Amino acid sequence: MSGIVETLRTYTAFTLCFLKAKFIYRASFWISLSINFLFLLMQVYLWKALLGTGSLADTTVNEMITYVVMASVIRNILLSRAALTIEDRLLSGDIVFDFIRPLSFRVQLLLNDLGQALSSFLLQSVPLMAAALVFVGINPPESLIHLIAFIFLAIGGMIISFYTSYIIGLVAFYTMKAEYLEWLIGTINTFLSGRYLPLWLYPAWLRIIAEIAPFKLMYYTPIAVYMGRIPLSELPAALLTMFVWLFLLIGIEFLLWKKTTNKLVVQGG
Amino acid sequence: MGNLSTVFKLAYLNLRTQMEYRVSFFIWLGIKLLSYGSEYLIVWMILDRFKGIGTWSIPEVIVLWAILQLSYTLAGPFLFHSAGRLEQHIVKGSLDYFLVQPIHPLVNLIARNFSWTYSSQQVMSAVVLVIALNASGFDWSLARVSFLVLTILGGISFYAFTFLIGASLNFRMISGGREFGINIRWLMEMTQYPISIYPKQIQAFLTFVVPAAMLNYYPAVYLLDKSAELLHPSLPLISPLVEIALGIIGVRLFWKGLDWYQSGGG
Repeated sequence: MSGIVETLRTYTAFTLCFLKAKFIYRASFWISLSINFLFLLMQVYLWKALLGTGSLADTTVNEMITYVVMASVIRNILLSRAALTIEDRLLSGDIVFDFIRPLSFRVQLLLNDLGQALSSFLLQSVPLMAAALVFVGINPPESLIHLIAFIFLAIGGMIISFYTSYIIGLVAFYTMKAEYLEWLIGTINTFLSGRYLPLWLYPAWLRIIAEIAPFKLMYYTPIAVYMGRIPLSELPAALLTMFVWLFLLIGIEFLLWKKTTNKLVVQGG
Repeated sequence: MGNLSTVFKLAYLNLRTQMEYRVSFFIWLGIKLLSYGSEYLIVWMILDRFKGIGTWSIPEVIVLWAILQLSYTLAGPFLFHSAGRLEQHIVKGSLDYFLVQPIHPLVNLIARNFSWTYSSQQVMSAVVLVIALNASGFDWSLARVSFLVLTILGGISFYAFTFLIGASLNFRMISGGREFGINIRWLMEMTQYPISIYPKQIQAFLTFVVPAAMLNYYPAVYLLDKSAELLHPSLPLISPLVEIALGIIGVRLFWKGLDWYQSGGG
C-alpha cells in the first residue's frame, strides 16, 4: 500500500512540475488560449449565420454551438504525441534509454501524454469552457446520467486516441518514419470523428463509413451522449462499441509490440 | 543577377537531394494532397445543405479558401523551412556560416532550404481556384485576371510577412518567433468564411490588426462583384497593395534583425 502511495506521490510531483513549466511561458499560454477561443468563435458565428433562428435536421443553433464548444474542449485532451515521440527517439537512438528504464515503454509514453492532457485540460479546456459559458452560452447536459456517461466516454476516447497514435509509432519501427502515417490517419480522423460536424448532418454515404470506424468515439459519441442525441436506451451499445474498439486496439498493439521489439535496430550511439 | 543563378543552382541541388528518397518524396506529395484536399471537402460538407452562407454561394466561399491556400503554398516553399530553422541556426551559432558567404544571408537561407514538397498542393489549390471561380461566374476579363494575379502576389507577400516577422523576432528573443508566425497563420484561417458573418469588432480586427481579410475577402468582393457592406468602399482595390507593402516591411525587418544579431557560437 505504501508503495502505491509513494508512486502516486512521485507522479503527482512530476505532473505539478509539468504544469508549472507550462505556466512559466505566460505569453504563450495567453496567446494559445485566445487563439483557441477565436477559433471557437469562428465556428459559433458560422453556425449562427447558417442556422439563424431556423433549424436543420432538428438541430437548432444552440445545439450546434453546444456541439462545437464541447468539441473544442475535447480537442485539448486527446493524446496524439506518442507516434512522433517514438519516431524522434528511434531516429536519435535515445530509444535505448526508454527500454532500460524500470517502467514499460508504453506506460512512459502514456504518462507523458497524460501530463500533457492534464495541463491542456486545466490551462485550455477549463478557461475555454468558462469563456464559452459567459460569452456564448451552451446547453446543459441532458441529465446527470448523460453527463457521467459523457465523462466516461470522453476518457475512453482519450485512451483510444493514445493507442491509435502509439500503434502508428510502432509501425515506425519498420519504416523509421511515423510522420506520413500520422498525417494520413489524422486526415481520416478529421473526416470520420465528427470534429466539425455531428454525424447526423453527414451525407448518408459518409455517415455509414463514420459509424463503422472507431474515430467517432473521440468526438461524436461523447458529445452526442452529452446532448442526449444518443438516448439512454442506446447508451449500452455506445459503451460496448467503445470497449470492443479498445480491446481490438490493445490486441493489435500487443501483437505489433512482440514483433517490433525483435526488429529494433539502434543506429549510432 | 549572378545571385539569382546561384539561387537556382542551390534550389536544384536541393531537389536532387530530396529526390534521392524518391518513394518517400512522392508519398509525401500524395499525403499532403489528401490532407489539404480534405479541408475543401469539409467546407463543402458543412455548407452543402445550406447552399452557401448568406449571399455567398458554396463556390464563392471555396474561392476565399483557395486564395488563402494558394498564397500559402506559394510562399511556403521559400520560407517555411528557411525561416523556421533560423532559430536553430542562431542557437547553434551556424548562422555565422551564412554571414560570411558572398550571397545575402536571407537569399542563401531560402535557396538552401527550398522545399519541393508543396508542388502537389500548389497544383491542387490552383485547379480548385479556377474551378470555383468558373462556378461562381467569374468574368475572365483582362482587368479581373490581372487583379487576381495581384491578389495572389499580395497573398504571398502577406504570408512571407508572417514568416519573416517570426524570424526577425528570433534575432531579438532567440526563440518563440516561429510560434508567433504560426499563430498569425492560424488566425488567418478565420477568413476561410466571408468575414461578414462576424460582428463588426472581429471584422475590424481581421482588417486592421491582422489584415487577413485583405488577403482574400476584400479582393473577392471585387473579383466576384459582391455587394458587401464594407468598412470603407476602397478596401477591395487597395488590399493587395497593402499586403505587398507588408511583405516589403517583412524583408526590411529581417535586415534590421540581422543588425541586432550577435553571434553566440564560435
